[in-house]
Amino acid sequence: MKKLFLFALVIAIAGGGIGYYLWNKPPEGVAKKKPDFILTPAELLTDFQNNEEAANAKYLGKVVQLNGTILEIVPGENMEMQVILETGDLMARVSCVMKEDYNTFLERKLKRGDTVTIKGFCTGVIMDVVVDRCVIVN
Amino acid sequence: MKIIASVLIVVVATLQGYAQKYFTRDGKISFSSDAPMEKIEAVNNKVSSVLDIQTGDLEFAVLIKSFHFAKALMEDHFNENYLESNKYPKATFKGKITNLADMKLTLNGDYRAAVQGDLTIHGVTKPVQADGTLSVLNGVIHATSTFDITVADYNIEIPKVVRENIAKIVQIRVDINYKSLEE
Repeated sequence: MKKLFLFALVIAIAGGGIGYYLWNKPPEGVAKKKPDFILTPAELLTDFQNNEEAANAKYLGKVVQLNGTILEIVPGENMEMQVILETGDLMARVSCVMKEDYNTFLERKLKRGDTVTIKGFCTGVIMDVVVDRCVIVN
Repeated sequence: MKIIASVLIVVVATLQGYAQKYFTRDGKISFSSDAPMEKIEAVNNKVSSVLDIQTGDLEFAVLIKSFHFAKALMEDHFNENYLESNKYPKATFKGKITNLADMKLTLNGDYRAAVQGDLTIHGVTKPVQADGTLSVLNGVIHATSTFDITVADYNIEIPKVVRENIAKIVQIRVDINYKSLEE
C-alpha cells in the first residue's frame, strides 16, 4: 500500500512538473526547424502582391528561408532589431524581425548590401512582408 | 503652356500631399488582460500606420501573428482559438482625429487628441473612440493612446474553463513614432 502511494506521488509530481513546464514554455524558436519554403525576398513579396489571400494560406505561420541582400539594419529601440531585405520594390520590402539582440548581430559584421540567408516564421503582409523570430542561417 | 502649368500644379499639389502624410512601419501596440487567475501581456512591434496631419485621417494595420507573448501556449491559443489568425491575419483601424483644429502638428508641442473610427478585429468591425497624446518634436510625431475593448464585441469566444484566466475587457496601448513620408 505504501509503495502504491509512493508510486502515485511520483507520478503526480512528474505530471505536475511536465504540466508546469509545458505551461511556462516560451514560444518556440525557428533555429532547429526545417524551412517549409526556400525562396528570395522578391519571390515572397510577389506572391503576396499577386494574391494576398492565397499567399496567406500558403505562408502564414510557416518557416520561410530567404536568401537576399540587406537593404537596411534597424537597431530597434526597446524592441527587437530588424534586418530589411531588398525586393526591388521601393515601398514594399521584407522585414525580418530578429530573435537575437543588436549587439550579438553586430559581431557578425554584416552591413547594407551584404548577402544573407535568414529564416523565420512568416506572419503576413502590411506595408512589408513580415518574417518573425528570425535567425541568420548564413 | 497651359498644359505645362496644369501638370506643374498637379505635381506640386501631389508633393504637398506627401508632406502632410506621416507614417511608420515599426509602431508598437501592446495589450493586457488582467484576470483574477492570470495576467497576460502581448506586444507587437510591427505596426504600420499612416497619419495625415492635414485631414486628421488615421490608419493602422497589424498582423495578428506578430503579437509576442511570454508563453508559447498563450500565443498558440491566441492565434488558433481566439483570433483565428490564419483566417483573419490582420487587425485594422480606420478613423480620424476629431479635434485637429485644436493643434498645430507642424510645430513642436504636446497635444491631446480625440480619435474616432472603426476597429476591425477577427473580421468584426466596431466603432471605437479613444483619447491620446501627440508630441511633436522636430518633425517626429510621437503618438500614444490607451483604450479598452470588450472581447465579446469581436465574436471572440472564451471557453468557460479559462474564464478566470482571460479578462472580458482588454486594455490596448498604442505607441507610435511617425516620420514624414517625404524623408
